[in-house]
Amino acid sequence: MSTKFLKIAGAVASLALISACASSTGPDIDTTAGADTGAGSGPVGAVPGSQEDLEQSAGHRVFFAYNQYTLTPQAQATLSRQAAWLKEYPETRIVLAGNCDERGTREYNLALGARRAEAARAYLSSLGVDSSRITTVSYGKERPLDPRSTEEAWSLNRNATTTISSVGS
Amino acid sequence: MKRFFAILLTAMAAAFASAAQARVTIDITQGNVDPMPIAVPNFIGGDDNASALGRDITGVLMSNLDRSGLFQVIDQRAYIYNREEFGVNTRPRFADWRIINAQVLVAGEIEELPDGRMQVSTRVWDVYANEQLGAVAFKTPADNWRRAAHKVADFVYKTLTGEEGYFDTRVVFVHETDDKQNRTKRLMIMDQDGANPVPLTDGLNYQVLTPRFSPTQQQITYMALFQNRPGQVYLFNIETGEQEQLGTFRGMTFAPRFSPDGTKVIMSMERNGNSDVFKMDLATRRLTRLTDNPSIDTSPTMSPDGRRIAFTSDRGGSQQIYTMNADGGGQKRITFGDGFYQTPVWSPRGDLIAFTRQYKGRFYIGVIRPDGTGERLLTESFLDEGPTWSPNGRVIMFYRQTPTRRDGSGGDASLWSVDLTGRNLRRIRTPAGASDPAWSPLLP
Amino acid sequence: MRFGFFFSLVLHIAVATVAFVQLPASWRPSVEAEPYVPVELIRQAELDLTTSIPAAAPEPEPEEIEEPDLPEPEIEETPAPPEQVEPEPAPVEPEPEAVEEEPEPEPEPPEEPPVVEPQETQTAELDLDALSQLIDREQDEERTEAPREAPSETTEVAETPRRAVGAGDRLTASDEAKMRAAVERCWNASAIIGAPEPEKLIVTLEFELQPDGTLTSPPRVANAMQINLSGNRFWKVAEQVAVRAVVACQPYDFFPADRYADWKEFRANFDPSQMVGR
Repeated sequence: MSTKFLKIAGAVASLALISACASSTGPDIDTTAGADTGAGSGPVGAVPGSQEDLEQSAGHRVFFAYNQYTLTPQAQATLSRQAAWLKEYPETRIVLAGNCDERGTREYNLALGARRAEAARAYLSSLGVDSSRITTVSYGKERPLDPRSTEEAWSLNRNATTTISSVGS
Repeated sequence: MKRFFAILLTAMAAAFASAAQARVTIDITQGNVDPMPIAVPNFIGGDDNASALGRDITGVLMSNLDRSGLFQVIDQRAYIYNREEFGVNTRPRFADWRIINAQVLVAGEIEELPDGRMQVSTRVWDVYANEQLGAVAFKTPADNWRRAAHKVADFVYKTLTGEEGYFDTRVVFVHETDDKQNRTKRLMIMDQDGANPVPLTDGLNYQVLTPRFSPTQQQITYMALFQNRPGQVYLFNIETGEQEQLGTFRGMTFAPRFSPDGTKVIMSMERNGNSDVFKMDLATRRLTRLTDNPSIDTSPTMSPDGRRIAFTSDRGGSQQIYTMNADGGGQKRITFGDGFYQTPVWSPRGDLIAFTRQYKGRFYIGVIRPDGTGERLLTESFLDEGPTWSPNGRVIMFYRQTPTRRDGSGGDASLWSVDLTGRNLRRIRTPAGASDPAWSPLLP
Repeated sequence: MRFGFFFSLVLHIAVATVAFVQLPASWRPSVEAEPYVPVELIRQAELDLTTSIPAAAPEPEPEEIEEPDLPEPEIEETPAPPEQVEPEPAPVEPEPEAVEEEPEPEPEPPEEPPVVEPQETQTAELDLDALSQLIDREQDEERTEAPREAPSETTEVAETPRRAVGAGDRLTASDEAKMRAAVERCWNASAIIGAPEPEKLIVTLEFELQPDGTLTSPPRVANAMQINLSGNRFWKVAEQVAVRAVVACQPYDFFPADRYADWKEFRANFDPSQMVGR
C-alpha cells in the first residue's frame, strides 16, 4: 500500500524534475556550474546578456574581509559595473548569494552570508537596479569555491556571487 | 518536636566533637579519576539460545560502560568464579571479585518467557561493601535485545553515578558525502553507540543542516538549504516520516531549536540581511519576535526551566553569548573572553551552557555557567563545533572537521564525544563524514 | 549542438530513471524503519520479591567461611598491584606533599577555611593557632593540651609538623601523608566531579584500624544523616565511593607498630572541590 504510494510519489517527483530542468526558470544547476568554472576563462564572444557575458564584462563576484560584510572599493567598482550591465538587460533577474569561509560556526555564517548578499543588493539598488529583480540567499560556509584550508582559499570563499536566474519574462 | 531535634543535634554534636579529638583527621582532596574497575560476566541463560543472547547483551553493556569513561570493564578472561553457582539469584562470593580488583559486579540472567519474550534480570553488587546496590529486570522480545542491553547499562550507570544514564538514546546527525564543494548532506539517525545508522532524507535537492531533537517527542527540526532560494526550517516526525516546512517566510529561517517542553521552536529569521531571534508556537504557528537588533542574533537555546534563552550576538562588535528572558526581556552579555563565543547550548541539567569558542585560529568546545562564571574549555582543534548534550547533561557530543589536504581533498567531518570534565574524548563511528550531531532524549 | 541535445536527453532519462527507481525508497524515511520496541520495566521491588536474593540462603554462612578462606591471599593480592606499581614513588611522593602542604595552612588560614571547608574539623584546627595565642585557654584545654603532649611522646619528629596538622593526633606528618596518599589512590572520584555542584558533596568517614592495618569494621559515615536528608542522589553516590575507597585500600600497614595507639582511629574528609576543573 505504502510502497505503491511511494512509487507514485516517485513518478510524480521524477516528472517534476524533468519539467523543472526543461523550463527556462530553473537552470539552477547549470548556471552555477558555469559560474564556478567560468571565472577567468574567456571564450570569445559570450552571448550578450548571458552569465558568461556578465562575468566577462562586469564580474560576478565581490569579496569581503574576514568576518566582515562591508563592501571594499573594488567590490563597489564591480557592483557598479554589474548595475550598468543590468540596466542593459532590464528583463534579467539575478540571485545574489552570500558565502563565507570555514572559519566560523555554521549558524553564524548563514547569518553573515545573508549580510553580505544584502550589502551587495543594497548597493545595486542604490545604483538604480530595481530590488524586485534581485533575490538574495545565503549559503553560509556550505558552498566553498575553493575547498582548501588556506588563507587564499578562505579569501576567495568570502564573497557575494551574482548569478542570472532568468533572462526575461 | 523541634526541641527534640535540637536536643538530638546537640547530643550528636557533642559526641561528634569528642570523637573528633581522639582521631587522626585527614583530608582526602585528590582522588583518582581513573575509570572504576567493574566486572561484568556474561549474562547466563538456561539454554544455548538464551546464553547467546546473554553474551550479546553483555557485549553491548560492556561497550557502553567502557565508552562512558567512568568504568573500566575488567577483561572477562581474568574472572575467577564458579559459573555453575553463579547467577542473578545467588549471592556472589565477593572475595572472588576482590581478587581481580573489581569494585562493582554486575550479574545478569536471561530467561525465556512462555509468551515468547525474554526477561533480562540484573543485579549490581558492591564488591567491597558486600551488598546489593540495585536490581532490575526488563521484559522485551528477544530481537530487541540491543535496547534491553542499553536499558541495563542505563540502570547500572544510574546506580553507580547517581544520574540517569544516556545509553538508550539515539543521535541524529548530518551524513556527509562527496567532496567539499558539492557536499551531499542528508539527515541520518543512529543509536548513541553508532549502531543502526539509517538515512532519513535523500539529500538530492537540498542540504540538511543543524538538526535538533525534540526533548519530548520523536521529532526533529532542521534547516534545509536550497539552491537559489533562502534556506528554511523544517519539522520532521521520525515515526511517521512526515515533514513540513515551519511557516513560509521571505527571508531565511535557520538555527532552530525546540523549547524544553517541545511546544515551541526558537530560531533565527533573516529579513533584509538582518537576523533576529523568534519563537514559534507549534500549535498555533504564531511567531513572536524576541530580539530586535541591527546586529546578528542567532543560535538561540532555552534553559530547561523554559525561563531563559541564551543566544549568539555580535552587537558588541564580535560574536558573544547573551542571555535573555523567554519573552526577550532582560538581555545581558555573559561571555567576555577574547575571540568569539558561539552556538550556546543549555545543559538539560540547567547548570551549564556549552559553546563553541574561536580564538587565535583555533576552535574550542567549552562550558560556562549561565551567569558567565566558571568557563572551562574541553576540546581544541582546527575546527570543533556544534555541541549537543546527552540527556543527563554529563556528556557533550560535537563535530570536528579536519583541514583539507594541499590538493583540496579531505576536510572531512566526524563526530566526537567528551565528558563534561574534559576527559574521555572519543570518536563516534559513522558510515561516512558526519556533522551537527543532536542527542535524543531517553527513549520512552 | 546536436550532440549536446542527445547528451542532455540521455542525461535526463538517466536522472528520471534513477529518480523513479531510487526515490520511492529514500524520498522519505520508511515509516517502519524507526519504531522502537518497548522494553517493559519490572519494578525493582517486584524483582526483589520474585527473585529474592536470600534464595541463596546459605549465603551468610558460606560468606563468613569464604572470607576467612580467601582474605589472606585476597588482601595480599588486592592492594598489591596499586602499591607495587609505584613502590618507590608512593612513600616519596607524600613527603614532598606533606612538606608543601604543611606550610600552606599557616599563611592561608584567612582565605582557606571559608572557601574549602566551613567544616568543624578544619576550623577547629585552624582556630587553634589563633586561639592559643589568645590567652583564653579554658575553653580549649583539651585541644591545646594535645599538641603539647604530642612532642613529649613522639620526641624526634613531632615538633614542627605538629602544629600545622592540628590537635588530637599524634601521627607524624609523613605518616599522615602516607595515609592520605593511600586512601586517595583508591578514591575514585570520576563520577563525583561531573555531578552538579560537586564541591558540596563532602563525605566524612570514621574508622578504626587493627594492629595489622585492616579495618576493624566498615567505616561509619559521620554525616550520613545530612546526606540522607538532602535527598541528593549524587551525595549518596559520593558516600558509597568514599566507603569503597577506605575499604579497598586496606591494609594500611605502613605505620610503626609500636605507636599503634596513634594511628588506631581515623576521620577522613572526602572533599572533591579541588578536583573540579575550573
